[in-house]
Amino acid sequence: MHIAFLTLQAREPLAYGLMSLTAVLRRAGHRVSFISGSSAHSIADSPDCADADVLAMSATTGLHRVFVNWARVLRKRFPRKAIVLGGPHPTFFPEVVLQAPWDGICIGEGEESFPEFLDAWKSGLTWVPAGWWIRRDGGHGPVVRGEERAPVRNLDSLPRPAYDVFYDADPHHRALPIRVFLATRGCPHRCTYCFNSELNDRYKPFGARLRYHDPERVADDITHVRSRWGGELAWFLDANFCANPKWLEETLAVYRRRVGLPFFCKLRPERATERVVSALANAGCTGVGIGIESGSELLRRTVLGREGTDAEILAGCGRLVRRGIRILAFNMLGIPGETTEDALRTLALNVACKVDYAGATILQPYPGTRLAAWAVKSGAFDGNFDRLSYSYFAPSPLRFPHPGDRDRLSNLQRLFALAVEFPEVRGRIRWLIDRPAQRAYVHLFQTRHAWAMQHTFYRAFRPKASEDAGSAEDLLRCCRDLGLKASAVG
Amino acid sequence: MRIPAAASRLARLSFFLGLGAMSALVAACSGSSTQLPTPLPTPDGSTDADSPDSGVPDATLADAPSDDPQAPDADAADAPEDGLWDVVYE
Repeated sequence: MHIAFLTLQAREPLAYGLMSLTAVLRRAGHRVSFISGSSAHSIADSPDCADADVLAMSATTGLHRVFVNWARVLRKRFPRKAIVLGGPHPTFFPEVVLQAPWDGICIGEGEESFPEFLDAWKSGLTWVPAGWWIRRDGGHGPVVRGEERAPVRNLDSLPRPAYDVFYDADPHHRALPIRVFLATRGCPHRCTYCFNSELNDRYKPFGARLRYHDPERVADDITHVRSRWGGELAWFLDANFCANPKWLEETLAVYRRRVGLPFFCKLRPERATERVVSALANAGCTGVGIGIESGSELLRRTVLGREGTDAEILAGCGRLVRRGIRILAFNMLGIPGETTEDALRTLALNVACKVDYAGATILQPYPGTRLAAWAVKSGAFDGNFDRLSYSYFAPSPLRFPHPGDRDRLSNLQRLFALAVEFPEVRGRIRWLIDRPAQRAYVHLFQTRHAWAMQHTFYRAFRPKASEDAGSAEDLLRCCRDLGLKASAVG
Repeated sequence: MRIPAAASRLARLSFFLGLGAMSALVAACSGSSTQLPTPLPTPDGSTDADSPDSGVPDATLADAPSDDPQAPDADAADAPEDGLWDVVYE
């Protein structure tokens, strides 16, 4: 069969899931094509679209609205083709099956279930594969739910992702110095805002929730990609690359021997122990992504479900800084219950941690997360996931007690990195944010963000100079400089 | 030592302010929107659930008589604009 993946032009970064699905489908003897466009009509006019048997889309929350509209248009043009949706949004909000005439939606990982759906489609949808919800009669019939499906148990049973679909087809991806890889799936932590928490519950009856590639397989994939498309830095997309220190050390030993490229990965700051940081540095890690998320221990613990203390975060960042590993910090603003003082304390903690770039997003209550359920229950969010943007830089969809809170939040998100970096901005931050949302700040944010990624992290080919670690005294001083109340300083 | 460090920092800040200004200018000249994508806010900026402007797909729309092929793209309005983080891995 011919499966066409439809993508919104230039929107998604290199989509690892689609590369993996492509490889699996090719192995099963299917033909796969990618059609990128900005509208359903431009997609429908593509020769590949006319030729395809199955039109497939993969949606995160927010992007799903685009694909819902596309599915309606495409159904009218192609009443006999299968039109299906997968990805995070239907996985956590399967009700999307009712919003367009989908023949089926794929819930969870599709590498094993998508080929089964194709078999079912060939048989006239006489049966429903596990992990799918289907609608017969051209997507107009009642919803029929397949059984829950286990995740892929052995990642090494999957073929190497079809990197060619992006690196051969898209010079922009090819021109970047980084090459992206995924060595693990899952995360053991219980952050309330993250989908991994829900997946852990869902996958619990099926056994291991954290899954790893064999270290040799990780090296195989990287050396293959390098030999064909070059690349100067390996970028691990894993949610938590360092979750299992034993696997990490084994993998890094193989990586050092067989690959030897500088690399970027993500870990939790409070888990950046001397042992982990040494293993990373010795293997060539030049940059990490860490979630600081909030400067309020109370919010981190009670709302976000993160246990690390300020002292642990400072200590973890200190170990990274001393080894010359660049830090890309992830922070969230607009956490339910967060005050401006709390948000400014987040800023201060980033300063004290000496991060290289302090990225700030605005909390979005994504479907399937415990935080979203809580926000709906408490009345902070209306539960309408169709209101969420595809971007976590978009204004908060939560209700705020005071007019102007949302604008202040957006202003702070856009100036956050500059305020962490420059005391000149930090010293005026209250004045800068306390006004209607400023369009100029959008440009300041976009350009600083792009510069950080393109020049600081994608080109982190060598460790930077070692620095002294930040301290609790630095945090205290910064809190005072920001005029934080005594209660927020301690 | 302190003066060169401060001067270097101010030069760096000026650079990023300049980059931002240039980005704004390019956006203005090209007529592209400078707004970050939003969760379809209502005209007054609120996000109340039953707003007529909320863009909520109707759960029954599978059968809706929509999408005249001659009409402007019904989906274009929903397509997020291009941004600088199109190819950003985090």
